[in-house]
Amino acid sequence: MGFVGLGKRLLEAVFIVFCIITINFLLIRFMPGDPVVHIIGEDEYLRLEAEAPEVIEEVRREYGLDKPLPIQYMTYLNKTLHLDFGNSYRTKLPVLETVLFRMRWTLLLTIPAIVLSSLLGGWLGLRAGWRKGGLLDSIVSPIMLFLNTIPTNCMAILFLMVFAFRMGLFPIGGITSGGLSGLEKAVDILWHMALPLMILVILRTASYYMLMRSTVQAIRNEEYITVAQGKGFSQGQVLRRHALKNALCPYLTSVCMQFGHILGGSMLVEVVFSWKGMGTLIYDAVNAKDFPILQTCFLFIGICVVGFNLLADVLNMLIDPRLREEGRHA
Amino acid sequence: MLEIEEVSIRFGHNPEVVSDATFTVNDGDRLAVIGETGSGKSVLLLAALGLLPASARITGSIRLNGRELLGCRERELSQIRGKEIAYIPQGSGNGLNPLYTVGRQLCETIRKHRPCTRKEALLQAAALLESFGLEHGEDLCRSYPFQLSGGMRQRVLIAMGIAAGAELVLADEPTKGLDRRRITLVEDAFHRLGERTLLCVTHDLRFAKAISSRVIVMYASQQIESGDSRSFFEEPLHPYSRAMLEALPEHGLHANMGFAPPRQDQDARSDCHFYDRCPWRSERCRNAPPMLAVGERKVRCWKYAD
Repeated sequence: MGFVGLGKRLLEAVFIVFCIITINFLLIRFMPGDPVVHIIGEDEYLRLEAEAPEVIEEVRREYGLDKPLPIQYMTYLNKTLHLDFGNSYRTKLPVLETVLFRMRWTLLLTIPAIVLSSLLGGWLGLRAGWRKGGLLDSIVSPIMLFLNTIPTNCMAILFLMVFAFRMGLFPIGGITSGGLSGLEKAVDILWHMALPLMILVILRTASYYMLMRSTVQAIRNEEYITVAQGKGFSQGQVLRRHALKNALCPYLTSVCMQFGHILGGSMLVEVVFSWKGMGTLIYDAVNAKDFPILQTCFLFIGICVVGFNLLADVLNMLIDPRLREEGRHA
Repeated sequence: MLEIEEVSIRFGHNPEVVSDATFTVNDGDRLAVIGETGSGKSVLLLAALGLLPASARITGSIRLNGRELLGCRERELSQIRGKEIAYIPQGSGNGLNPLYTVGRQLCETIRKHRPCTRKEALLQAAALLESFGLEHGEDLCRSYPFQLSGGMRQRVLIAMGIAAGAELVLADEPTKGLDRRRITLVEDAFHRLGERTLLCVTHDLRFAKAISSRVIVMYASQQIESGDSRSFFEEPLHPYSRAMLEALPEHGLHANMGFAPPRQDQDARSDCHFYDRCPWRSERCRNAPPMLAVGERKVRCWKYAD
């Protein structure tokens, strides 16, 4: 295993996270207007400016905005390292707690969605790609292609109308009905999860399917597949021994990229189903100009994307000896 | 013994890529099938292995030691592939799976047809590689395909083809994409195949001369000439064969008949397939000539009818 290459990737990842933190800091500072406006709201700011300017200065001091930029930056870095992200402008609650709480609900939705869809889409794509023009390919491919073209929010609203509103099979939105505990609560949450999860699974399965199918189709034409058949292995054996592992590299990379988006990627579905996860948190925070929340969410999402990209690199290195070699010379 | 009789192959409703191929490869024969890209030679090889895609329609008969291969069940075919027929792919392609070590891929072949432990198989694999002039067989077994040179890869593929003990070797353009020096190494490997029967498809004339005892020339899906290797290279009969040998660099750098124009609506035409390019063409060439015997040799040209 090329430890040098791995170490290099790790350093790169740390550097990128550092950049994200810095950009996060600068983004807010370079926005037009006085930050205090964003903190206390425009109406309040205008009123105070006319009636009691000293209050504005007090707020400025309280948030450390009167100090020079480098000092603000150092304070910011220090606080970030200690996971102190301040309080929400809107609810005045500690940001970290809020974000972590919301994150749980998002993960509850997205982890099963990615696991289910990557297995289902991968398996179907593998079968369909191996027998191009076969029964599975001709039936499933057009359906998947169609699903792939539907925007998430469009499908979410459609499902909401048909299955929840018209047929009344599922709740309109939310996470739980409240007033329940234990097993009943778990079942209730599952019931609320069903529709958003279904949409996420369907849409992601479609894209995983298309990816796996085209990868396997390309691999099927490779010389070593013919050679393996020439050795006397059956179709199934060739698929398992030679095609699967070669298809896995690009596929795992793509799945890991998706995992990078487990925090922010389900925003549209969350908003439509008023699922109180990170997606709705970001959505509400944007509307309310709640910057500490937004900064923290962006940071977490950024770390997630970088982390899973790193994981994809490591997995690929484990699978492909050529990448290990490259790392060794690096 | 591999007998190919009146084999015609077409894909869907396209023109035939192989028409009426008929020849026999006797035990110990080293037959080279020569022809330009697209003349249908590789397809013929894959047909013998039963590896053509489902869209291919094959008629005729391909028999291995008297046993019909066409229409054989997949299960029976996979018993024959590797064990009785070895397949050696093109030199330029990646015939070796890039993710596995050479040893693993060799062992896989050995153990498919002769159950033994991994260790035994690995020893056999190393010995086999060494018998093909590749030194340090055990080290080689531990390396990955990308760590080998093109010539080495191709020799590994030759060894891998016969690893399960196949007596009939089918090779598909084994020198394609290799330079002269590497080709010499591959030639050497082919000589090490010993008494095995060889059917090699190639467009490399010098390579064919070096390894074959008999030659078949294919042009536009047809066999146009066959005969023993020595007399063929001394005096080719068919105008196409002549042009091909004259075009070798040692005869100066000129292609005296230009390049092959695509042949249109083949199915609708009944003339000789080489009519458009032939310097000797005459009125009777408007009817397709049959294979005519010239001594021990055969040629598809009216010129030898008298």
